[in-house]
Amino acid sequence: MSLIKLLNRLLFVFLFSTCTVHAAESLKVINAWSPEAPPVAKVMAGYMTIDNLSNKDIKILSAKSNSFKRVEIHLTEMKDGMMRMTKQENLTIKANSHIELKQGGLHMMLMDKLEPIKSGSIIPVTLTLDNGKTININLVVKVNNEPEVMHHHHHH
Amino acid sequence: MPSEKPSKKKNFSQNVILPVSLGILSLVAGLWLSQQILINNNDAQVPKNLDATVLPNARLLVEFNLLDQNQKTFSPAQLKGQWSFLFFGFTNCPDVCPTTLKVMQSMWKTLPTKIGDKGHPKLYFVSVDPQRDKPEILKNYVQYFNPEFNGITGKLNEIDKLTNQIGILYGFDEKDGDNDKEYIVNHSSQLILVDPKGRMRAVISPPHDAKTIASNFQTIRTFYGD
Repeated sequence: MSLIKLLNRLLFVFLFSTCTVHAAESLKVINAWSPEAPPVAKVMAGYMTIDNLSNKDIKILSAKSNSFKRVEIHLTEMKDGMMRMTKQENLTIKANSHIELKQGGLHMMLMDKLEPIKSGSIIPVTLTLDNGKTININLVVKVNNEPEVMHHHHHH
Repeated sequence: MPSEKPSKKKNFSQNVILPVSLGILSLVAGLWLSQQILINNNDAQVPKNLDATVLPNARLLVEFNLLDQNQKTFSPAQLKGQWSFLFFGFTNCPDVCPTTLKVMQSMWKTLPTKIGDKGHPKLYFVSVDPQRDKPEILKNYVQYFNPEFNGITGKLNEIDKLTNQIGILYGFDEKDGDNDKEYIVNHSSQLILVDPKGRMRAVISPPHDAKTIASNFQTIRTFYGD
């Protein structure tokens, strides 16, 4: 990769993906990322933390991306001895609260990949909220050598 | 005759060497035998302090006829000769399968053995979604995680012969939308450890963690022998 390209990418990542704050909607999305998948895989996952900074509950009604045919929010849960994935028709983030989309739990399911996506790519996703507004987020594609499930997060 | 002297000496030394070597031989045989008895005794016991569930009576896996990623037969015979990890899933799985294969990729890096070494395991990712997961897709999928990994699939009734023996469950969620190729497969996410005799020896339950699996595997290997 040439230096210019690298700088461009760094600038791009800095501008669009470090931390997306949407003051109007009061939703803050942080650490939005997607594990790089085998090129042959048609689906990928999206993980992030969504903060609701407002005093009202906010509901995410739908999600879409130009890189995938369909985007849904699913919950992985252990049920009847199986890992089941249940489609969430919508996702409510309670007032002054946050939810985490993470491995083995709630996640964005990106279905039917339309273009090759590699580590370093950005997957743009648009979320439609129940207040009629939309917000754009960028999933940074990373090789997850140390899956999140191995870490113990301490909440303060 | 002076020439007979060395000959007699030779006879004498032969007389000494034979019983001594017999003694050493029986000592070695005895040690080997006690080692074998020790191993056989361990066979019906389980090592302590593990996160894995070890079966005291390892269960021989029989009668299934599947296909590997190179379209070759995968049957109980392929499970003999080395330790094997079995994991069941499908390639259209966004969360659980890639996360687990990533864990196994990390775990593989900690192995003290290399491919071809005694005690070096194999990993088989068995797709329970043969409709979409053809062998060549599976090959590309698993080898992204590690070129040593193997993708397996086959007819559903043959997959059932294997999953029924080891308590793995799977099922298909109703196909919704306009595309009948879009459906979700629910499946157990345990890792099954099979011993070099082709017997199910342990079950490792999620959440999976590379370091724990690695240390449990070495403990089990040492306890039962390769």
